[in-house]
Amino acid sequence: VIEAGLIEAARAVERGEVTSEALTRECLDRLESRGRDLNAVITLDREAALETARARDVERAAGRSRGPLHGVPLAHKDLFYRKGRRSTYGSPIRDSFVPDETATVLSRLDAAGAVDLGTLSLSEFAFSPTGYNRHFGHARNPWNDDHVPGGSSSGSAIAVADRMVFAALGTDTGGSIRHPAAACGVTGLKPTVTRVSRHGAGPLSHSLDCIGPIARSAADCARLVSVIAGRDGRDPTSSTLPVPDHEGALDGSLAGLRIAVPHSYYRDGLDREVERLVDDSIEVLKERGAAIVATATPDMDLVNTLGQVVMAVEAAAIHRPWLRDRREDYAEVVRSRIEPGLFISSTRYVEALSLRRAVLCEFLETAFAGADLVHLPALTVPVPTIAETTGPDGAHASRTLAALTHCTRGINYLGLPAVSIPAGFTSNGLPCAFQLVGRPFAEAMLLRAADAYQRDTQWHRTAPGRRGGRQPT
Amino acid sequence: MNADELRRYLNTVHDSDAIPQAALQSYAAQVVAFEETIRLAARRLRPEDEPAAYVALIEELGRKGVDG
Repeated sequence: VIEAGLIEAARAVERGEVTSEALTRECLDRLESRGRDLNAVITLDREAALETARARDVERAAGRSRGPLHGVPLAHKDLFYRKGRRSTYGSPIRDSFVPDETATVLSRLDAAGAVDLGTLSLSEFAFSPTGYNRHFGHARNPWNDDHVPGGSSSGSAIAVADRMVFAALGTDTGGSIRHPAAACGVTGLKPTVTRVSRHGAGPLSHSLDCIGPIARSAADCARLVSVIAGRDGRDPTSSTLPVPDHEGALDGSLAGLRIAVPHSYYRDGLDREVERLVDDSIEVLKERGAAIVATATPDMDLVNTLGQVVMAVEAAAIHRPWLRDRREDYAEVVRSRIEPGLFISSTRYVEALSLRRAVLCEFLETAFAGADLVHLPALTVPVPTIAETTGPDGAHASRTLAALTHCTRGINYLGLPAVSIPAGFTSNGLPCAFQLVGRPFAEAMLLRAADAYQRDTQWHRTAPGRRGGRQPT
Repeated sequence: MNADELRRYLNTVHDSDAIPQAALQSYAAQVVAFEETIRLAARRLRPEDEPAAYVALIEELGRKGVDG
């Protein structure tokens, strides 16, 4: 069962084929061994998790189910608050921070029956697309531990890819769900900006932060997002729109769906090997019935700059007291991304937010151009080594970091939903992925398309150390 | 407020004395580039909306469904 996905695990528990306690014990053992080796883990709640699992087994034996995640072990990025448990946010500044309330997303997972095993690693304060963390150690890719796992939700993607948990929550402010999902060969969904409550999650940028699932398949993501999405009175920015049945929409059909493939910006600097795999994924979607249309892109450098301004100012406002009092507890690469926000004028910040509507309209008109979804690469280069992103050649490291975020960061300013989907392996043996981007609140359509793709491919089922080639079903 | 007073004020807000000179110069270059980009974009796209208009738009598109 541990090799199966979240839905299969939930079904096995429901049918009594395996106990929640056995699954929980196996996941905890994997997190303690392999998880520690890869720097994927921060805090495990072993006794509390086993106690919860045993309670779920008693309930099941009595014919009671709490919901669609009954008895399924999960663990999450260490920035979701749970009352009484420390939440580090990947920084020594928060090393002893113990919240007195629980994040809405964790409460919703609890209510659906999930078992929370503990917290997973992340880049310092959720900055860095690689998994770099000076304080807790660089997280490592389960496919090859010389390589970056992506970030900032590094531990979440590592743990899901290496079969330590069935799924994990991450956050995405510039690609922090999609980079690690792509680099580790798993599926990651960044929902529409207001779709999931951020209450009780450590903030990076209030206007851009999104919470979403990382799981092995689009179907697993569908189950999770249905649980965590929806209006929350404790997050007044959360949408009042009803949450559709994401899982029920997975019918395998792409007939009538129009998928746009924008060129120019999204093909700039695209590695040839990555390009071939990304183009292969378009062919699979086409074979499934989707109509593919070529489109253009608006000025994405502008979109990226506006997003950077919003993020820098909002992060600076959050971090200013710590930057003053605990300056040396920041890695320089993190500090240098926050501090410019201290010097951006308030009028420009408001203008950057005020342009958001017009820029979104322009993107919908240009990149979508009447299509339902947009198809993009996830990363423009093969997953780099840790040495390539931290080595003495600063210019090369900067170029590599920019390549990792090239196709993801603009989507956060636009606020659109996007999913990263495994698409094969480059010759260095590391995963490659593509993204689908939807119109606002089109998560169900995104996941339907991703699931249809995964019915024809096996990349998402392949685990580290057990890799084969493309195996159409 | 004269220049010295302004600098003292900025330091109470930003604590910029603690930031090394090289980093400050790098930030200044970034901020100038940001300002210029936004200035040009604002001229072209005319941001007459208040920021909340964006949220209203995505809600409206979501309500209309994927064809919105």
